[in-house]
Amino acid sequence: MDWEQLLGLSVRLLDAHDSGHSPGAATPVVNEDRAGRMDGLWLNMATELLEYLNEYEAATNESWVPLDEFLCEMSDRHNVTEDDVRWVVNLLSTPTRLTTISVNDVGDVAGTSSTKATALVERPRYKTLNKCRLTRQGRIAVKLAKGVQGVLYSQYDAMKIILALHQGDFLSALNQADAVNQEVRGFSQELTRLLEQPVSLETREAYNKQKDAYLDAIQSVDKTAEQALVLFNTTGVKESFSAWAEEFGPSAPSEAAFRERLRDTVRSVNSLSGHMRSMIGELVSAEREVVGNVDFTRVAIQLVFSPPNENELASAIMSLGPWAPTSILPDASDLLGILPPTNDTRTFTDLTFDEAVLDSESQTILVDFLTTYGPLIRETLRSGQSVSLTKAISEGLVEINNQLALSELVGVYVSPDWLQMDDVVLRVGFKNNGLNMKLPDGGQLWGDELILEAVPREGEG
Amino acid sequence: MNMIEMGQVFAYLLKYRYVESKSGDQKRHRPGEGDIAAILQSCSPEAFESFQQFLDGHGLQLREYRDTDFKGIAPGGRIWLMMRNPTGVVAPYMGVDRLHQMMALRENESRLTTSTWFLHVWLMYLALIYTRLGRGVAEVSKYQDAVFTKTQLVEAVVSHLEQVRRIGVDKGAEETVFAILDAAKGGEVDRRVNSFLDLMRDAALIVSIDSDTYQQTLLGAAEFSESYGRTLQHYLHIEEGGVDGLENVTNILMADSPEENREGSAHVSD
Repeated sequence: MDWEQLLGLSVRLLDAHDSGHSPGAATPVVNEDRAGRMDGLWLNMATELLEYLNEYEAATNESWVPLDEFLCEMSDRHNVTEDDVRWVVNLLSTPTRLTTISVNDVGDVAGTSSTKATALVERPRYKTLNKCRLTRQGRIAVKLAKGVQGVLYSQYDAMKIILALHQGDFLSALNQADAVNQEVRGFSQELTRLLEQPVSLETREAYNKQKDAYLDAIQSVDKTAEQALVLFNTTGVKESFSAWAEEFGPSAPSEAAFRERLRDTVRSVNSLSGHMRSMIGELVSAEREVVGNVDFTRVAIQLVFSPPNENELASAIMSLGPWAPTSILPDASDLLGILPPTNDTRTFTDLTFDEAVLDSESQTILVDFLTTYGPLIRETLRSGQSVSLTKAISEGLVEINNQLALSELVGVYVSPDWLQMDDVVLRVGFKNNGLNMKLPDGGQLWGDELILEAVPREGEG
Repeated sequence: MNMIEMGQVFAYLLKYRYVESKSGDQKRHRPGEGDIAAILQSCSPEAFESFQQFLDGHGLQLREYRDTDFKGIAPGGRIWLMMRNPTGVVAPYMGVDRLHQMMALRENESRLTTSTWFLHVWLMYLALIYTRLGRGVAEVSKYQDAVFTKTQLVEAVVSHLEQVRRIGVDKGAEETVFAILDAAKGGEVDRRVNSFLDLMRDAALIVSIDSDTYQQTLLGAAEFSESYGRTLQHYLHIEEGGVDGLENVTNILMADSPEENREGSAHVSD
């Protein structure tokens, strides 16, 4: 990486910025020497840190980079303490204010503006962890030092992979592939991050303006990366690869590993080009709404004043709280469906209310029930007595031919017409919770008691 | 993905909630994760869609992300998250019974007590990983920044309780909630926070980094971002950027100076 060039490009600008020279005063002599130790010690650690963070991030795609290894390496190399190295981390993570003058269209001074976005690295807010990462500025610094100019230029970087493959410069092809991969990944993640925030009008317009350029660039990178993969699989390039690998020595990547690295690039670019159209579309749309900051501490206090009701609270927890399967074992009722229906009281004859069916040969339980118990029930009702469900069950009317006939018995209360007593009016009443009976199959029946009674048709009010 | 594989993937997801195709430097594969990831990675779009429909019947959905979407996914890797569908119907086997069991400190503690405790610890947790970081609810990308320690969470809950006590019923705190939170004795907050963290970790909404430090998972962040507006915000009546009538709260907290005993016995009725 060319830090010297980057620094050389900006050092005098920085001097201009830092100058305390007052307008009108005698012009000070510009010094060719710089202050400091002039041995490049701290600068080396600073640039090494930026490169280390960049490489680690590329290799792991983690947010935070552990520093232990770096601290150890630097203190060994320069024979300094780890605290000395930490001071460099501190230096790069402390922002400083830069002031610039803005000029309007007609060339007049419009005002000054300042920025503190100058920290190149940042540390986690929780200081317990020995970690750090590049800030956006830090990433740009690394990019500039590398001479990479953003995703729009990645198409040229992708072409360099092909060039390098043709040249037989496989190490450079690999580095190019990694650089493209990292650039594409970074750009894609940047888009995701932007989608998660309310975006300023300027950003939206900038993306809107460059939308097509981005899409073209990515599609071209996509095509080129695939071409590179195809090219690598040709016999000529394969042969030149094995020759190169032999010359390179035992640390050369295997052919399979090399192909996998190229494939990684193709995959990243593929997935980005798939998403990008919709992501940029969403980003530039004005209607996009994102949920921003919520002060949950105050929410908690407010909910002490006006708590949600118990149902709302349960729903809130169920929707976003930690859930777990309530039971590991199935409930017994879940298994009933697969048991043989020993007690099946269903009939498979279609229910019709045609007398012909009742008279037919096919003796369903209902027909059996009505022919066997019908006369008894009718007789009881005609004698002026009522027939309660309890009474019917206790007299054994719930069983016929050793089969439970509960539905048939209850059916009589639901459709008294089955009894065919046209000369009287049949009335069904119920007594709240008046029923509690043991059934012949061992089951228990409880609930409302049903009572059937007959009233003469004549003389009724 | 055939039916057997679909069953394997679902069974795995029921336990672990997400699958990663590659384990990064700082993580290790969970048992069987590689096989499950291989099934998902090699399945056809049609099979993936069928699996989505199957999950839909459970009120769940599967989200796939790549290293190009978020930090924390190994280069070239993918992650699949099983998330609740905010508009779906909750499957009957999904429940929070364990939550009530674990949050309870005493026998027969009511569900209102355990849910109220959970809610308040939860809000303090959310304050730590969103409010404190100046992080919007939609900012899923920052999940790796969402690191907090148990000590911080306990301190946040303790200071919340102090504030609740300062408000008291006479300044408008709802009596039941006040009674539940005010009853906390020494060490109790610690135990409830422990249970909270265990529950969140078992549901893969957070991971523990070391004995005292935790981090939100991508699942936790993605589900929260997707569902917040439709569920939590709605059920708890949280207004955009705050809650109804927050000015009153602020006024009460600001005017924290001990006021003269105004009508101290006004609440004694009956």
